[in-house]
Amino acid sequence: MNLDEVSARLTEVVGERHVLTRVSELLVYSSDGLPGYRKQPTLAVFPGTRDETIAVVRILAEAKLPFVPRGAGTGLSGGALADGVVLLGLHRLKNIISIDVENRRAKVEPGVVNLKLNRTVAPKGLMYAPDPSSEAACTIGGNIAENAGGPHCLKNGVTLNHILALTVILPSGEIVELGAEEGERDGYDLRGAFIGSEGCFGIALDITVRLIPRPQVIRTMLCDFTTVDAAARVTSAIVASGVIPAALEFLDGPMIRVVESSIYAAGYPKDAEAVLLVELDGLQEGVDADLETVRRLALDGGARNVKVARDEVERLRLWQGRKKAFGAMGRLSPHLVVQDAVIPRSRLAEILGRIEGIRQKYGVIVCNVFHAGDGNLHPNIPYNADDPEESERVHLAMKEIMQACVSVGGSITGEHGVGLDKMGYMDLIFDPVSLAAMCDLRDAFDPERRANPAKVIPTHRCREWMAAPSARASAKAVQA
Amino acid sequence: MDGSAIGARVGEGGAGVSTETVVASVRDAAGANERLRISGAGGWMTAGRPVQALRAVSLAPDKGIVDYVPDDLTITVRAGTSLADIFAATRVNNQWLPLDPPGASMSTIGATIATASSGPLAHGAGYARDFILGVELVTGKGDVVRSGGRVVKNVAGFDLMRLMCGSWGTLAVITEATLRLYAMPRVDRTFALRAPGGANGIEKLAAELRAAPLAALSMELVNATLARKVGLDADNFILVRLGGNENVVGVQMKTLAGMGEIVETDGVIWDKLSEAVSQPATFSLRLSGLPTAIGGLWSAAEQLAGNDGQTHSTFSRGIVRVTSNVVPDAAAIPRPTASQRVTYEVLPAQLWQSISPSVVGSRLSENVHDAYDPHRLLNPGILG
Ligand SMILES: Cc1cc2nc3c(=O)[nH]c(=O)nc-3n(C[C@H](O)[C@H](O)[C@H](O)COP(=O)(O)OP(=O)(O)OC[C@H]3O[C@@H](n4cnc5c(N)ncnc54)[C@H](O)[C@@H]3O)c2cc1C
Repeated sequence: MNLDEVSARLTEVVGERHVLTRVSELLVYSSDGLPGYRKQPTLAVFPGTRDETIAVVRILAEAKLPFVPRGAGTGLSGGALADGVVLLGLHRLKNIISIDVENRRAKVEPGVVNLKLNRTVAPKGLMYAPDPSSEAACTIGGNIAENAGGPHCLKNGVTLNHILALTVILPSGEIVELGAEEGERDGYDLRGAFIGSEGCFGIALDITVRLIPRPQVIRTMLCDFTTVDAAARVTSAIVASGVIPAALEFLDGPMIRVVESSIYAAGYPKDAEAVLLVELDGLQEGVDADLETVRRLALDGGARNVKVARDEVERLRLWQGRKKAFGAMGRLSPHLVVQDAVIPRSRLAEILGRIEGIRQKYGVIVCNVFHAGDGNLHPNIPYNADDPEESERVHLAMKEIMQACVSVGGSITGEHGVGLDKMGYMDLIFDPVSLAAMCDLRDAFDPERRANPAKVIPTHRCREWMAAPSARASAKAVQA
Repeated sequence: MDGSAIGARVGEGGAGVSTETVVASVRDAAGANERLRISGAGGWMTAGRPVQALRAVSLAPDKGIVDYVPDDLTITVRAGTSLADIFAATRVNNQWLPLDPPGASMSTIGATIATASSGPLAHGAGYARDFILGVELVTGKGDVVRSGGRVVKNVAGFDLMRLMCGSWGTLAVITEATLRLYAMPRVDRTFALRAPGGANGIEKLAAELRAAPLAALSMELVNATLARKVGLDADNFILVRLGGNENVVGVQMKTLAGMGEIVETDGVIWDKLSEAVSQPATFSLRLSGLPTAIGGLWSAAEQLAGNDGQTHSTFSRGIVRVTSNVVPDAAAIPRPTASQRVTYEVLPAQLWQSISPSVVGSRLSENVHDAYDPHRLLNPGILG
């Protein structure tokens, strides 16, 4: 089957409007949330139902064509970029199939937007815990693929901890049930293996998520500091104290000032060098006591001020600055590197100090806004990608920051995934045998290596890579 | 033949087990075309389908803490380290790994992960799959593989850690694991709430507990046989473990008292329970389903338990487990249905094939199996 024939077959399934082949139409889908990368798909197809999705995958299987699943395209590692292959968009699959209040679970299609699910279950006193800052746009399917986190994952866990079952269509067209909607599933935890597989193992057709009761009370506080070091030490002290805040977020001075001079101004003190946004939730009596513990740790640790939001309006305003921090950076410069690394939580002060040194060495701007309670850093560098000299400095600074995080036992990504962007760093934390073993897992799900080819594991690390024809083609495309 | 190795002769126990020796054992076995039986402390070798292996490797001697940074609330241990040792090492810093499978005191962490075992704490804290941050493995090909890391959040690379949970040693030998720890609750109190007998009564009470403003560490329903063994009257009880600060435990205790007759018990009741439910049994299985279906699952399990069998349930998770020394007639052993799953733990050897031939028979599972243990060297047949 040539591409025209495939296109005709796909059109029969999904209708003319939902198959794009013209370069001008495909432009929208040539980037995702990761700035600085553009990759052009050969064709984009957008099934509107589960059956259409199955038919589409089977046509691609028959034609032996590689494809890239895509949700909302908010991913920050380039995972949803299709480089000379088919892009398979799932955002039209947005039915919430069922909600079981008593058993606290919901079954959804992959294109359901994270916040939409939460708004739907909130009146029933329930919530879906993982809340990426992109919650207003990103899809549950994308969350599964990236094992997404979010500010409130400190207490409640990440996507992995909230998925009960999945129906997956493998790239071969075979449909498999992973996990169990009810009760325990014996055998290999293939649901666990699928979550975080970045679109390389197949497509999630429906997803059964765990819902948890909304907390009785929520209290949010802002602690402000005149040094980054003090805020970092207080973060470590809170973690070590055993209090588990629902969220523990960190914004440094440059980030605070960017937020405060944007339309998202949240009332953070502009002269602070760091603020900690701490949220506690649960039963009233527990929250009150924990609030006092955190207040004392913050003040003892040098906080200039600790402010507790008095009402919901004030609380949401404090959060707005955090949730819109990336958006606020848009006005600084045309491009932005959003980095994602993890360090042991006890090393926060040390690493932030090293990042400051790297910033000075390369003369770049670094804005830090991150999930401090998990040690999940997001050092962001705004810059102008059209300036090759500046781009080079930014690149070198990022690499050195990454190396610093890895050198203290950290990881190269805590929630954004490896995708295209982080492949070059995989060798920093995994040896060749481990990388090959990961390729083997992908091969178990997708022996032809057609789903999201040439992502996550550097191709030269996959055993017998040259044996898979579709992968060979896409590897060439990446090198070109 | 039960689940233990027959005529095991190579690498049995003894000191000096390490990643390198495990690699050598796997490679030697492959060279000789002989199978390997993997064990931890050896406390539950009767579980699973019969395994025929001429060689054995025990991970129990490979124990000890590799790295423990209290301020990070993470710990890295060798696979043979017992949960009791982890508990002792972390308690000095008021931290713990909230994982209490049957026989927790002697169980090794490697076996706990491999068998995906959990206990009453699963109610509030979850399962091994929720705590595991990193692993080192030796695959059936003799490769040493690492997945995950030592930090609490990490999405780099495909997830081989979760794959190990419940793999029963058939893909790889776990040699090391990094786990997430939690602060121990400052106040930790346990109450026994008398529970009704019948399915309806249990279902109703479970629903009330679900709806109540409680954030318990554990809520475990035990039958009369077990209640007696842990020092209570011979009646059904729900053991509720509350943790946190003084106030939060106090207010929950009041809520609980409003729901029925409660008595406070010593916290050692959990150790007694863990001990009782890990006693050798000739028959044990778990029934599971939706939490709202708990009444039916409980009645079915109680019927299997008969007069002397032990039944206990983490009902919020929809799981009921029964252990007994009387094996029911083959016809009476429950099979999976649309609303009820069955996890067989211990069955007479001759029954396995007819009752549960395999739980890894799907093409996808076969592919995964082929990827890591293509020659079926490790615990062959234990999952079917
Ligand atoms: C402003 C901003 C803030 C963010 N904050 C966070 C945060 O706090 N935490 C966090 O974890 N992430 C965050 N992200 C990253 C991103 O939003 C998440 O990774 C999200 O899960 C991606 O969802 P998506 O629907 O946009 O997926 P896409 O970007 O479309 O795709 C991401 C990956 O998922 C695959 N995929 C998509 N759908 C499916 C499916 N149905 N089946 C199989 N594979 C599929 C794709 O192939 C791709 O590899 C943020 C992004 C932005 C832009």
